Amino acid sequence: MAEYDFLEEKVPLKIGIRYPETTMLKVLGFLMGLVLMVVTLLITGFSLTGFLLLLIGIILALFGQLLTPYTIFPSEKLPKLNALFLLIGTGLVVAGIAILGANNAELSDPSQLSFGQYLLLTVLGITFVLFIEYNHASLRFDDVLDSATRHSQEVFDVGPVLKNYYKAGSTLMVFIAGATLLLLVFNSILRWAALSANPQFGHSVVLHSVYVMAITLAIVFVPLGIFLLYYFEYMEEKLKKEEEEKRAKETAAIYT
Amino acid sequence: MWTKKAVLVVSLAILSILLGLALRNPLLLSMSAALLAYVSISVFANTAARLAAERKLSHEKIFEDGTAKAELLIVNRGGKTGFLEVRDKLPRQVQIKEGTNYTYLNLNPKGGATRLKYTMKFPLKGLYQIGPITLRTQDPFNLFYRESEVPEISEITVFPQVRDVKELYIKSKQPKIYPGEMKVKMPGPGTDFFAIRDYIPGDPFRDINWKAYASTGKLLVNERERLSVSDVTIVFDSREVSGIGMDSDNANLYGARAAATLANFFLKRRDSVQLVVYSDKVRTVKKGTGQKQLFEILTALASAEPKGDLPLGGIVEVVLPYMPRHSPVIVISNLEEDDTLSKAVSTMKVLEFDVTIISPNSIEFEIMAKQKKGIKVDPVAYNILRLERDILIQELMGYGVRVVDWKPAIPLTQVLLEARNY
Repeated sequence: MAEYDFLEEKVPLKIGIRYPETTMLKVLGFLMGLVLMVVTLLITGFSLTGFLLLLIGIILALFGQLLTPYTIFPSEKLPKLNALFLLIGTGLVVAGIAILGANNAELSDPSQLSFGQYLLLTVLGITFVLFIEYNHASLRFDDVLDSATRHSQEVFDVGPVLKNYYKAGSTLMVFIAGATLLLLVFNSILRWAALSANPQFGHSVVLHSVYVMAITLAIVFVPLGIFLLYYFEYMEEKLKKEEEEKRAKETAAIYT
Repeated sequence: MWTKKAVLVVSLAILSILLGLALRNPLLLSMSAALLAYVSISVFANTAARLAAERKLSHEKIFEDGTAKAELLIVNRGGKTGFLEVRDKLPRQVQIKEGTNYTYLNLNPKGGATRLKYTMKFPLKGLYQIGPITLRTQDPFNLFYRESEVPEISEITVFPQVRDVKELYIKSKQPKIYPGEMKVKMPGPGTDFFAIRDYIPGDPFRDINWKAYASTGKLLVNERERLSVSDVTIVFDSREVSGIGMDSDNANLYGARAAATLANFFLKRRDSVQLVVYSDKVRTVKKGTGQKQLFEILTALASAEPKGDLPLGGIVEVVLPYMPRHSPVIVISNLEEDDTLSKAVSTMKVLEFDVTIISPNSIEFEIMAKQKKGIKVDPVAYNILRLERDILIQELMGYGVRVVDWKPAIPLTQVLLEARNY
């Protein structure tokens, strides 16, 4: 009688490319990190600490891509080693950008920013999103392949899924970039509206500092957040109702 | 539903806003704007999947270590599925030997279909449920997901493994006086007419069929339908304590294999076998012979999960009136946590049943499980437990019962041979 062990399988710690299918995502993730660094330095200028933090963050995120999902914490809910590297890397990248762009007199008044600078800030935002997305997608698809190969003996073809990901992801990214640019430019409309309503308010310090950007985000996203909360609830109810109707139909079909 | 990633992205966006305000850094604010746009747009990129599925199985009843093929047809009845994860839910004991029960795909709207084919291996006995099919649709960035199920469920019964045993000397002490009640479709000692055959020198004179001799001119003898040699009762302990150990090594599993092997052996020998399984309730397969009886016994053993704590004493009281007197009774139990054992065995002996106890040693199963998991085993505690078990076995043997202490390392055939000294 063969020995069967149903104890949890532990993933060994290994360094290397887990699946060649996701190499492109790893490369894109690393490239986005480099672009992010270049755009940040273009906007802010050079500072050693910020630059080093950014660089280490990008390297750590790349290193995380080359690790197996080795468990280091006792709970399954906590991140695995590769995800932890990505988290730390992202944190360092944010810290680097925070240091590089802190108290920058040229950038602190959004009313003085040109459209080109807004465009650069949009590129920065989108590059950061892409940096997170590609790095995470690489880990996610590696896990999908892991799961597929662990549960089957066949080679799982992730090609069509990745193709769809690039296609759908790129389309959505265009929308995200547009939305980001609109959000950043929206503060000009806000300032104009404030000026029309009350010139004193229109010339206030708040509307000529980064606070106006935060106010813009709050004006857009707080109502959107509330809407989404209700939207999720509505969708859940709708799904339940549909399922109940479907079941009722099936039961009726059985008894007729 | 939000994924962990979505929560982390929103948290990062909020952190960036706060840091951006504190450090007067517009870069962080533009990053948070992009992050929030990323999350908001993804909400609407997640669509629900409406699928229909059908599963075909090559076998619905197999033996341990057997394989069954499954073919799952999934058809999209709704719009575009987006990123869809499909998993045919399998019990964790099931191993996939070929193919896959999991896929990640993007089905075409209205009629787009995919087929999953896989071969499962069932190493352990039991009643297994295959399905439902779980679906998870995601947006391309895996920020939100929706889960649903297609209630397509199939069942597979996995019978315990049956070993081929050459000889067992477990039989009634007085097989001729108490031959049992079951007729077996073969010639032998009995009362009812079975067939006519040619006379062979040595046949009793009274068996000659004179009427047949008159019409054919040949000496022919009557044969009678044989009655079963003995009625064997197998009592199988499937209480919760029988599950001590690992999924693959425990008293319940070993005991079921022993019971299946014994039942197969006795039924092949044309004996009549009855099975009593006790767990949280008592399940009895009434005595019978033949393949159908074996099938019923195997089904009962397959579905005997470790649960409940009914005592053997109670079982003996309930089942005893239905047990053929003086017949062999084989109790398969780990003898754990049952205060009524001595009383039950003594009652059976008083009624002159030939009792044999095959006892898979749960202490050893527990030690094995602990060692496999890397848990330290306290030798003193286990030595005390072993001593207590030895005392109990000695006490039971004192009633004239044969007890076989079955350690996991001993193969089943050897254990059954140990029970032969009757």
